Amino acid sequence: MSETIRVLLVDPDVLIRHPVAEYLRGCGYSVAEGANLEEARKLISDGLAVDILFSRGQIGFELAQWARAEHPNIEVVLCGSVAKVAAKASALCEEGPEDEPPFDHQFLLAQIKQLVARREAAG
Amino acid sequence: MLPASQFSDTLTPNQVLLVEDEPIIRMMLAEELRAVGLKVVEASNADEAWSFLQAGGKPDLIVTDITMPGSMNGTELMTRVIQTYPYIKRIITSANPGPRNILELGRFLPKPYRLEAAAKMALDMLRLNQA
Repeated sequence: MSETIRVLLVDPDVLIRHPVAEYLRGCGYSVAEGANLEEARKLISDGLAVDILFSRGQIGFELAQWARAEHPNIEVVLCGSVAKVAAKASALCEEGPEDEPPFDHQFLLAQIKQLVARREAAG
Repeated sequence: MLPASQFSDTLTPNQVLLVEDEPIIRMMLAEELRAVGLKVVEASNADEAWSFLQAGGKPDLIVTDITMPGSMNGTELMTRVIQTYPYIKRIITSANPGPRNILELGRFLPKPYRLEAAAKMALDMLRLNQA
């Protein structure tokens, strides 16, 4: 695969969104980020060309419903837990533009858990 | 986009925490900053930015809008940053900076701005511009 594939990653938590976005960029995807449903809809409605919509939880579910109705050409990757986010990001990397993911998805998951734990410790 | 020759590459890219609630502007500026070799963390409001800092995020530069939804705006974020992380460089951008002396909080970038101008200011503040 040589052409740029655009992923729109939508997650309300910057401590999950940022590491996953960097991971996907590391395996060759062009990644746009949205923090919520409204941002994602706005980006797409304003003309952002999206091939894959990657999200989780309730926001992801609502986005998937909207995308399937309004933009059925967009592939949707929906995740439940944060562990699933890491695993599905890894799977996306394996089928993506680069040959190899930048690092193991367990390391990605560990990164996210460490960031969230630090935030919780900071209160 | 700035020519690559204006950017002095480093082994460890400088990290910019970009705080902007308008997703199109945030995405376009983030892409411009990445194109000149910077690592960018995108925060959709000041609360997210603070959350990233509290989690141990260590940006070299924060670029923030002023008027944003959430528990604090960009000026309140920068005030906290000055108190807690005074070594982080700061750019404040707005179409309407308000009466407060914005220059006390960081370098001011008026909106609307050209993406190249914003990237140049970021590089200048990080002292990465060779031009």
